[in-house]
Amino acid sequence: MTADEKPAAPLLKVDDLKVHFAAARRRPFAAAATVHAVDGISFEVARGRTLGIVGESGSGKTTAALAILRLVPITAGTIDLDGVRISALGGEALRQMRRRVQFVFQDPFSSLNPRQRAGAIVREPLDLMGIGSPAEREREVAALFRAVGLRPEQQALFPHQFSGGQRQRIGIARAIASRPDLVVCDEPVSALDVAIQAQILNLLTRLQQTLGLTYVFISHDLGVVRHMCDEIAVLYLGRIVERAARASFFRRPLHPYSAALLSAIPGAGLGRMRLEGDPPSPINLPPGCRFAGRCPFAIDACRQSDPPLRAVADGHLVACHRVDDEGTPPHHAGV
Amino acid sequence: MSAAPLLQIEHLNVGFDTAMGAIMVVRDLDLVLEEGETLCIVGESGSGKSMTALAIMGLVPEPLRVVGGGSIKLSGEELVGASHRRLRQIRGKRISMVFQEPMSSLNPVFSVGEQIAETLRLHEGLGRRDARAAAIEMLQAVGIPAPERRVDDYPHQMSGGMRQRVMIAMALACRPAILIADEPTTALDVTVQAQIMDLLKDVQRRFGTAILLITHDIGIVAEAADRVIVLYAGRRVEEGSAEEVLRRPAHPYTAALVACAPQQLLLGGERRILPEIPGIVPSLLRMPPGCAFAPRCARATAECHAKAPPLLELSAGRASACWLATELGR
Repeated sequence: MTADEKPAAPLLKVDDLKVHFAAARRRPFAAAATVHAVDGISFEVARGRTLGIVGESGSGKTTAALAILRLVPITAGTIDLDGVRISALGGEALRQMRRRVQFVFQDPFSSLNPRQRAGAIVREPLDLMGIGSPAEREREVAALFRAVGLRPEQQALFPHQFSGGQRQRIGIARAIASRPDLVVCDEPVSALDVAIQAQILNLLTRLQQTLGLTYVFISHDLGVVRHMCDEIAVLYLGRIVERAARASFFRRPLHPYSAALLSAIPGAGLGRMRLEGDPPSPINLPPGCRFAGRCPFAIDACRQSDPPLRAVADGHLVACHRVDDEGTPPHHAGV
Repeated sequence: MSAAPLLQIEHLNVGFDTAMGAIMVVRDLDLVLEEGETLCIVGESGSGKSMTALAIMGLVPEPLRVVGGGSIKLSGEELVGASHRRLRQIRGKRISMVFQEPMSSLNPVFSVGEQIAETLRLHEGLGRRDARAAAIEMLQAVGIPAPERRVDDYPHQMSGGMRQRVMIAMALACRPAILIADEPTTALDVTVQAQIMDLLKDVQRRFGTAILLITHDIGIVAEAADRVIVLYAGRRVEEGSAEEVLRRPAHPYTAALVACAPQQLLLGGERRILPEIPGIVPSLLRMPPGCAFAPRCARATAECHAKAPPLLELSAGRASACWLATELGR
């Protein structure tokens, strides 16, 4: 499924992206600490494809998404959209770029203005970007409502009159209103009941097919990621620890952290690899591999030097000292 | 010991009256929890699963009430209508509860040690020093490293997983017979979620606690439950041993929930379009006259829309509220 021709140029190219924040001082006069939220990540997404970014809280996945949308200041690195260096844009050019990159939020309750009617919410991007005449916008909003499985007459309702799944549909309609190339979906179904999750995933799949959308799909749920994504990047403390095509990743996740994520899924029966503790804070990073403190396979080398992301098999990248050059991981895991 | 079950609920109804008619959040629920077992209540939001837990604790929030003469018996003792004083003696001592959000269920201005010790001082009459020692012991039991140091930590100094461990330590401090865990891992990261589920199983084994586990996650049911009750719009639609219910659901709703589960996305074949349950849970104000699931059910017949099916016993401990139950459960 993934072994077709290599596309000429990727739609989205992120190169060595870093987003650092100043951490709040614990005490007055304490040295200012830095949060390495995103710490040098690179990836590409071809047009019409979906890249899944997987990670737990604090992994930097949402910050990476916000950086792509230019909603947080970028510390270093570049982001290219369709050959345009969007990381360097400002002013009107940046505003115009936003037409092409849109966002679907996790929480359909807090991401819609409760005082705005559903129709106005979906129409707003069209108004702001000056797309079409007022009459055209009206027809377009009605069409968008139908496209996401709502009835056009529901435009007159307020967000609280919709269920969670319907609100997420409104959020999706708003995201696709300006006909973007790229839609960044940040945990779009994790706030929804399982029965509704499937509805929204199916909607996103259909929209991708009919509109040729490219997705960056952020999730902590590997099942959802396996279903939606062509390629997977696993983030841990601001770094990509593994990147691979879907089939390759799920057949044999190489990084011990990926394996642990997979075996943590309840009821799937995919091994009993358990991690101790919680992810450490992105403020005081350990010197070697960031995962070494929780890794059951860590050796001295892991605590001393930071493993680079390297290719061990065709297109399968991993940052782990314990994976050998043939791509044999220290664990047994896989679907 | 009496022969009465540890916990027995009969005809539990929770609801309230409005100008537009009575709204029933839980309808005619029967449930038995035996010593040392894990019973899962599974359902979507609005299914009434959390309200069932609160009813057992005697904590149903206003304006909701237990109505219609239902009964909740703890080792034969009636809890519906029991005095506040008696309920306070039972809560935390015989029945404890762990909530979804450990941050909002801990008091931010007391150290975790003080909060665990409070339970022990109140119910066991321990002195300050003994209660503190017991609190340290409990923190140790739930796998908190360096408990003699962490006992003085405040909730904000701990991670989400640690806080949930503290909640479990507090709930188990008086060795209750029953632990009610309402979505105990939903707010946690997946790797931490797995740790907490392991911990619950471990403390159950060590203390012999019966666990009533409330969840929306079929995977957790598969992993942890001995028996399962599936709720839909406040009503039991299916019940039985977890293994049988998941393997051969006898209700179309259970079948659809199993088919939609994220674990299926991981293990099932690759496909572009997922099985989905169309529509949404009906409003409690406008319940359909027939089966509540009929409007979303692919197999619904005219009979389903007209008449609500009773809960039909298929075999010992196995029941389904579907007109097609015998056909499905086979």
